[in-house]
Amino acid sequence: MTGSYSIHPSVIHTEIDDSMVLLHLTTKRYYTINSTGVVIWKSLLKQKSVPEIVAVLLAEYDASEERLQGAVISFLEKLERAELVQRQ
Amino acid sequence: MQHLTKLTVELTNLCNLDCAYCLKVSAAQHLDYALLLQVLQDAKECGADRITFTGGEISLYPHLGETLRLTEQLGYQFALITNGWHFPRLVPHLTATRSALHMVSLSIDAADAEAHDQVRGKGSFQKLMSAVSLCRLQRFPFSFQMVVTSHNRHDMEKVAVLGARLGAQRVRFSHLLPTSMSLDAELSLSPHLRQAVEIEAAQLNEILKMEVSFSASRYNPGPEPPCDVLHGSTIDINCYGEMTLCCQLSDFRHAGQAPEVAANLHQVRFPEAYQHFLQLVSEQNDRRTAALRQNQPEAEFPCHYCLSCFGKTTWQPNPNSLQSGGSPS
Ligand code: SF4
Ligand code: SF4
Repeated sequence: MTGSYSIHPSVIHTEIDDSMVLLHLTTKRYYTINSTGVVIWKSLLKQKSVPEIVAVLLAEYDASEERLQGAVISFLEKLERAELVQRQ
Repeated sequence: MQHLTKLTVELTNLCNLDCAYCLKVSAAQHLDYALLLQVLQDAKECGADRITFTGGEISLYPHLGETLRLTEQLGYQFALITNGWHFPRLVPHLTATRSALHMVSLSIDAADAEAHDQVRGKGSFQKLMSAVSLCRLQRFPFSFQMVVTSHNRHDMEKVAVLGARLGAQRVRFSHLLPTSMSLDAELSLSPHLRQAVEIEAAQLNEILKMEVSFSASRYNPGPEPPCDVLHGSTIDINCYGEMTLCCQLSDFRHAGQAPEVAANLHQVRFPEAYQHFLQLVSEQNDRRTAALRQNQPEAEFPCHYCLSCFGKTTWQPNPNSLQSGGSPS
């Protein structure tokens, strides 16, 4: 997968310590994401594509590109199911 | 008359926002911290066990962390009122004093960013929702409070439902207490509409599982004291270190007089000041009872009546004003 995602306009993110809480103002649901999720979310804020997000994580984590790509895609799909991001 | 149970403490009148209808004087003043320490101890000895911290914006008070820790150590439960803009700064203080935290009360003007930001400035709604998210994450009990005006009265249901869906403990509405003739003309509701929005709040309370209520500013034609203040159980300490009758009258924008001040705590000891306060309470109760007996409709809205008596609505004909009728002893 090489597509890109954008953050849903109704989502408000708030960072605290090394995690982040997301509030979807349409569904009124809250979500908490951990430090890796925060890196991915911040990359989305900078409109980075999936390969670019994987590259950001590669620079930070000691894991293979293949594994990181799988983790990023799985995380983005979860966000998409919760309507927190939209596929472009 | 009840005994003292609660303090309202205006920590500062400094605020990062500039809401048109704000009651507070705009010149910045922080409450003297040494005086505050003494007041918290004295009030505890007089029986108080609850405090509501107000502003201005409390997060701008330089001694907030120490204040909340002392509050907890002395065995108080506290609530605080904030616009939520700097809420991330408050989180460590509230986490450290969680056992004493009763409520985070967040000010809201509408259920959507456009209308809320029109009153509070661009970006305010987003900050408020961030504050809500942090409350939820940290499990801080939170509520919304909204001043109902001619601009937002049709938004009451949306705000109540928003609060319920976001996990608020309560949504409390109050009537606008006008600070100028132009605001009064533009934003105030007529007495008839005030009662209509109170009915709306009562109906929302029936429908929702969350509490929806109206403040003491609501219609109340009964002669009994309409609020904790006029029961003598809640006192106000303003940011100048004065004990006053009520936080809604104190440090009031555009008011040239302050007959609501019971005593300056820099000069008068707390127990003595409290006696002056009780005197003001008794006089205001007597005044209101007499006005109700004379069928003065204004006295049926207790907070509006207080504004009138304490000379805050200078642009209105004011038969009740203490200035024209003699100041309290
Ligand atoms: S947030 Fe509150 S204190 Fe600040 S300007 Fe608005 S009404 Fe006044
Ligand atoms: S303004 Fe008067 S009636 Fe309203 S809460 Fe204060 S003391 Fe009570």
